[in-house]
Amino acid sequence: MAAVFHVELITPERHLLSAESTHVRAPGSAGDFGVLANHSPMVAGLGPGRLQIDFADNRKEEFAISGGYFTVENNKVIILAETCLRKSEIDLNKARADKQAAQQRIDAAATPAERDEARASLDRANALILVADHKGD
Amino acid sequence: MAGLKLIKRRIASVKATQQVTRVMKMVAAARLRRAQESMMNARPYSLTLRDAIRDLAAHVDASSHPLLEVRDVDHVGIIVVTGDRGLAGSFNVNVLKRAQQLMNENAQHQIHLVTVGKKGSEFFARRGADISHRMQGFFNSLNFSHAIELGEAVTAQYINSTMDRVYVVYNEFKSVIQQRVVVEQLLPIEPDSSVHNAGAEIIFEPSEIEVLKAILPKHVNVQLWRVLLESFASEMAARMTAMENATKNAGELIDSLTLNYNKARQSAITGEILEIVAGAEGLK
Repeated sequence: MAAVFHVELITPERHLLSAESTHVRAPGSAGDFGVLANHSPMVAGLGPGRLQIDFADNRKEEFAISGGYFTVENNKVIILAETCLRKSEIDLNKARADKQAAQQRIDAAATPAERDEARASLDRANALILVADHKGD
Repeated sequence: MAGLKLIKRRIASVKATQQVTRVMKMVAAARLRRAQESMMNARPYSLTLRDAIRDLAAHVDASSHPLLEVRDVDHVGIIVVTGDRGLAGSFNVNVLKRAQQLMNENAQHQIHLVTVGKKGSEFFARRGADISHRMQGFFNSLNFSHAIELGEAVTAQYINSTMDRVYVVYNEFKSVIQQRVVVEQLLPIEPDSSVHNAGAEIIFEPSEIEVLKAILPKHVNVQLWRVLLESFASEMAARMTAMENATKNAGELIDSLTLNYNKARQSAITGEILEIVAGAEGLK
């Protein structure tokens, strides 16, 4: 039995999760990383991507997040996500449509700000598709 | 008979008022439910973020980001959050009183006001206070972009030293029947003094500067977002209670006026009968 730690997953709209976990994999803004129990204190920025939480009772759950912050201290992980969807909540067709729309917006963007904004929504759509398509391991 | 007509007219007028207060109460109640829901949903995120940031602030050097920097105080910024409209009991008055008190406490400093809501802006404009930024008329379509606008305005003034310390005064939502006026220091971000291992190394991903640069301005916006939601929910709750009382008072007034009306009518009838009887007696 692996050592456990507490994890909280919170978005501005809802308190998604408060549970015991053995392993969290998160999409850091500088690359994915994993956290096990007794990790040193850390604060990390999160990019859009796939978040996986392995619970103490051997269940696993995947989420798509659009960005946020990750803190760990004293065996307590807090994930503050800007938006977060459980894998089961993702509407894959809508995500694909969003992706297409975002790509068109990138091509049509007139200003750098518009292009960045469109890129960000492309990244978010990609994160949703990545999670929805992921078969699990 | 003139007295009777007068009473009748008053009853009609009070009834019309009661109708208005009853509708206002119902509108406030419907809005309150929505406002309370979004506030309850926003609370965990913003309070957890606040704790995380204050904990973080205890671990990093105050010079690592302008929003952490503690300066000698010359200029004090006060954000006063009121509503756009009155008829909400003591909701606006309480905040304005507390803000005035805070201004008196800081009388030795230059004070710059940021008013949110029409009531606060009118109140301080009448008193000739220096209002450096005002926002009003948006509560009915309140969304996160308003918090960003407010946050950016305040942060900019803090960074260019037009404000050295920023407080926010608002109504905190305790329950439908209880709102509490609170004063919070928004900037500089106060480190959590209870952190013991303040010197301990924290790993930053990708880097301390990157993380602070992204997270601190966001933290300010998120805190203000919660403040706006708390205030709006409080306003609706206060208005609902005030209008409920007004409706009840109008009801009591109508009851007592109706009683007076009936008494007056009865005495008029008695008077008429007496006259008739007296007339009949006279004919004998």
